[in-house]
Amino acid sequence: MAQITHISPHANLLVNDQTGQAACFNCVIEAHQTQAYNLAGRMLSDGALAEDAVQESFISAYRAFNRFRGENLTAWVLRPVSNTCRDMLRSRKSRPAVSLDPVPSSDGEEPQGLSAADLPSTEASPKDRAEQSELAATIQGCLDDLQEERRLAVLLVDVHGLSYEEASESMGCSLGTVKSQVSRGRGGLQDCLRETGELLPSRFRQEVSTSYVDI
Amino acid sequence: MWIFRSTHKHITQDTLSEYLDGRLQGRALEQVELQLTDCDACRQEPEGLQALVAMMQQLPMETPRPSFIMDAPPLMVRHPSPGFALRAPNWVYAGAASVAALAFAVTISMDATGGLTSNPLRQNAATVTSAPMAESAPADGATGARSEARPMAAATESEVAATFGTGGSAESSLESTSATDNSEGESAPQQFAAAAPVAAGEDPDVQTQAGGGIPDPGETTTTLAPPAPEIALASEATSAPLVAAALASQDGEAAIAKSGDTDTEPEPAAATSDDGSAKGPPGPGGVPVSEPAMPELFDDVVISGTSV
Repeated sequence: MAQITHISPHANLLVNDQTGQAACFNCVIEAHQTQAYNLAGRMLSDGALAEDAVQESFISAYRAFNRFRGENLTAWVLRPVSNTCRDMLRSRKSRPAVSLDPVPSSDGEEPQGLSAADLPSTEASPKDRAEQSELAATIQGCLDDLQEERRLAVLLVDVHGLSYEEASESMGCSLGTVKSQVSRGRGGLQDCLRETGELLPSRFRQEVSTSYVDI
Repeated sequence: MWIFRSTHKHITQDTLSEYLDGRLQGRALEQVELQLTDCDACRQEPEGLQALVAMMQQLPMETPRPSFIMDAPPLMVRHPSPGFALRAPNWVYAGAASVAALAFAVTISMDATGGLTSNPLRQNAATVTSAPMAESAPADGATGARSEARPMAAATESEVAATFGTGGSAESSLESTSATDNSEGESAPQQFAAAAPVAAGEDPDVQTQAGGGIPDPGETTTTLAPPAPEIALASEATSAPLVAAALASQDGEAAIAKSGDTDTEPEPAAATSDDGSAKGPPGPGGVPVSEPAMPELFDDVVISGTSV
């Protein structure tokens, strides 16, 4: 288990894991909220829903912290986030809602929305930031086309850098399932980006197009 | 190219993905590296996939605007568990279903084999109910129909006897204003009594029928009075001219005179009506004296009858 130290001025919310070791739960939140929020944002493609999902997930994690056995904390924290995102996606499928975001105009303006446009790097130049936004929007569009489990697997492994074992713990499935889901998710993304290659920035367009191998 | 096609074995996507993630070891890793070395075209595939993974890793991470730091521990909502199980064990449902299916099968088989129709209890009930029906059927009249409507199981002897008595009276009233009783009451039965002698002259046998229809005078004394209004109503409905004649006499004297003219002597059966069953004592010359047939006056009627 990663050593958690109370370094922030926030309330020291002590929780005990299964081994009886006390930990500061606010420190856990502080260390993982960015990962949790970005995972939820890319899974749900909705910033407000992502905030709700993360808050609900942290509450669930607080209540279940006594079952934490001191293993990989990141995978353990991202597990309720994954489950909450799954539940929200299912409820969204059963009750589809119409977005109140402005509809993109027909003059070629880039569509607004998602968290992709809200993920600019503040340190990059305007050109790089525009490219990043364009790339993020394109990738997010392809991620939305993936199946739910494949999207989650690709996000956990490729975006958040979890190992297959950690991803299997977060997804609550077997290691073989993670392998296949990651592989198929990557393949789906590759196909999607190849089809929408024109939307990619020029320097990314070449990389993706050369990945196609005609056997 | 033909050599490539004959010896080349396509690297599966799962294997390539594991290779990129560094998860292949041993012989599997050697095979993939050998294939990538021999085939230039195959090398493009992992390169493109690697570029994709790199792009994914370059996706910026947004810092959440609201911090999810908790100021206080969240409320621990506990759902109270009920003290009893809301759902019974599965074997309960399975047993109930099997019992229901067995009962259904038994019912169907009994119905198919005629077991339901040969129920001895039902046969006994049919014999019990058929006897009073057969006896009361000749009595006819409104009371006969009423006795059919009643549950036969509740038909005691007294009720059967009452049915006979009232049935006889009703028969006499329905058959041409029969009502041979010469000593019917003055109020409602008065109309009947006034009309009776007319019918008595026409069909004296009706008296015998009415009198003989009382099997047990001692018991009919309590049950004969209530049907009297019915008899009066029946006589009103069937013999309006006679009722009008009775109304004209007002006190029944005309009826007495008419009955005297017929020289109808009281039948032995009518004599048995001295028990007070709404039959008044015969007056001088065999003319019956009309007495009120009200139930509370029955005793007086009996006393007067015996005194005469």
